Amino acid sequence: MLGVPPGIWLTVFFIIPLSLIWLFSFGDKQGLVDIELTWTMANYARAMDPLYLQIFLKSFWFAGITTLVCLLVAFPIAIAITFSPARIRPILLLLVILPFWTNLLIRTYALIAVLRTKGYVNFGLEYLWDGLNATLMFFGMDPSGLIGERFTPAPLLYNNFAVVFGLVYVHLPFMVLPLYASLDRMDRSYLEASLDLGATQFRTFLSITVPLAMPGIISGVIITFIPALGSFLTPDLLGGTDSQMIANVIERQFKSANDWPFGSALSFILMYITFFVLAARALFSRQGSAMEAS
Amino acid sequence: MNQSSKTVIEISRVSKRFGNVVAVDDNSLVIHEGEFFALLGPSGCGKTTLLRMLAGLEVPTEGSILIDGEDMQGVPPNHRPINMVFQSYAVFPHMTVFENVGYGLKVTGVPVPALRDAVMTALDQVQLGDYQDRMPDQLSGGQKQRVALARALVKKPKVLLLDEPLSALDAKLREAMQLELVKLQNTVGITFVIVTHDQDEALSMADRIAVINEGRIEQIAEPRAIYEFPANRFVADFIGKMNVFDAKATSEGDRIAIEASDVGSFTVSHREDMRPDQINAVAIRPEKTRLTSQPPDNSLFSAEARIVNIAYHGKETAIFVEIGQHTELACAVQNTSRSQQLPEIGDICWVSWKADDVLLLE
Repeated sequence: MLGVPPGIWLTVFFIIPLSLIWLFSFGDKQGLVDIELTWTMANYARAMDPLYLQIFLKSFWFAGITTLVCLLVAFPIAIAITFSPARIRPILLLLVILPFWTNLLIRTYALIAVLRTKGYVNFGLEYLWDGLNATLMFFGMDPSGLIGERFTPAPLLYNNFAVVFGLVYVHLPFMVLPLYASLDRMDRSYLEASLDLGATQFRTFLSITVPLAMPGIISGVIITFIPALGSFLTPDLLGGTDSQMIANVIERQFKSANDWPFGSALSFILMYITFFVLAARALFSRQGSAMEAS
Repeated sequence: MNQSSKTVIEISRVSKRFGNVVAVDDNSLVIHEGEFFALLGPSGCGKTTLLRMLAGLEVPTEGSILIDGEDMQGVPPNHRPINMVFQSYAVFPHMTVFENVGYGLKVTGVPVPALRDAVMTALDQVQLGDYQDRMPDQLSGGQKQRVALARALVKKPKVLLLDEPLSALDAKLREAMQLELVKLQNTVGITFVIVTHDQDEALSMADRIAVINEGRIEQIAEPRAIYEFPANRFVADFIGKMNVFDAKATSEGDRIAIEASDVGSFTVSHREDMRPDQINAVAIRPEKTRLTSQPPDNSLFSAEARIVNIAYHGKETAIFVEIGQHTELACAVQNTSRSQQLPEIGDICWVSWKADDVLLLE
């Protein structure tokens, strides 16, 4: 098995299945299981329906917010790891990748336990509410006017917030690692020179750290955005009725709706978008290196 | 030189420890305004740590640092009247030469017209006036270094720190840069503190040198004093080449009699800072010895020797001779003429020196 050339691996497990899906997307559903290849564009035309465009847009919105939040959260983490003592750096990196050792499904169910109405967050909030309530009573104030008659759990699950929260949780390591890699490679004397020349720490961060970490930022954004865009499990388990993403629609076409041609068309539209993002990145980095070379 | 006796840096009893490692061990040092001062030592001796403490990039474990009379404790790098040229130059790769040099002014809010004038003046000072729009990766190592110099000078610091500024340059460029740095320092009149492991660099450029070993300053003196009157065995051995022999010394009137095994005995003038019983070794530099085929006159100390090795270096030849059975000695012969005859291995000759060129060591 190991002696098989990689070309054959790619053909059997990647190119052939993908080609089949590509062909399905130009097919016509005949009866329950048969698909006739008619080279129709009807599936793609149907994907342009405002209903589906809106879901595409929503997916972009979720993936974009997720990427932005990941970037804002991951940058301080990456900096902290870079500047921590060499002894504990491997441990911190291990903590970042530790979630990968558990199945995504299990981690998502764990998030449900955290976020649900009687989950850990609401339990904590209720505890604080009780404490505040008792304190106000103690000082002879009527708490009902200030903090309400009784504790109302925060709606944290089965909505857009839960989806974005889940996506950030899942994708954070993908942002931390490339940022850490680029910060770790960076020559510290650039930062020291900036401080030495009179810049504050904050100014140094904006004028030196961020521009020099740009390759890591771009990599992080891309490898966060692309999988977030195609997320299926997180919106499926954590989302409400209005927080579906495109992958959920695709899944439904292949299963409950039993419309493989339309599902295939949606899949390929998502893939074309991904290709477009990667191509734009390649063009960007080529321009960057051309500028450096000239 | 623009030296005055005004103190610009005062380091008192400064130590720096990294965990159990003592990088800088209880050093005190005064640097005067306008001085070109060198911190010289082998790699890992703590000289760079000392420099970084001046810049505020490291915090002393003990002791105090005064710059221009002000205690620098708790003062961050961006508030010190000091700028640094880094060993790697640290020229920001994403900024043009102009932006690099202007960076230190821009971040402190200098208005654009004043910034432009100052940057152009600084670039002219380092002869990079035509390079303002270049990116750093279009520059050679020497040019990057000039950018780093201009970037620091434009801030008009009280003291300019240079961390191994010439180590990355090739030999020819290094020599040219040595002269240029001295010239530049004379022009701008700023105190320069340079860290180097290259004794030639320190000897040729500095007004004063501190020789550092294992975190301790061994000697602070002018280059000539460092070379001719090294304070101890480390300095004698580290600076230039030195032949060291075990020896015994006894007082003999106002002179000291030296008895060196194999080599012979001679007397030298008295050194006030050393009692004869403290002297355990003597040393002589190779270029202060002479080789002759006949015994020289009595004004010199001389010993019969056999030539055991010859190394030709172009401008001089190192000739290794053996005195007695165990003592080997290096002699330097200047190749002053093309027709100069060199001795051959196995030849018997006379090695001689002026008794007062001998150095007494503990």
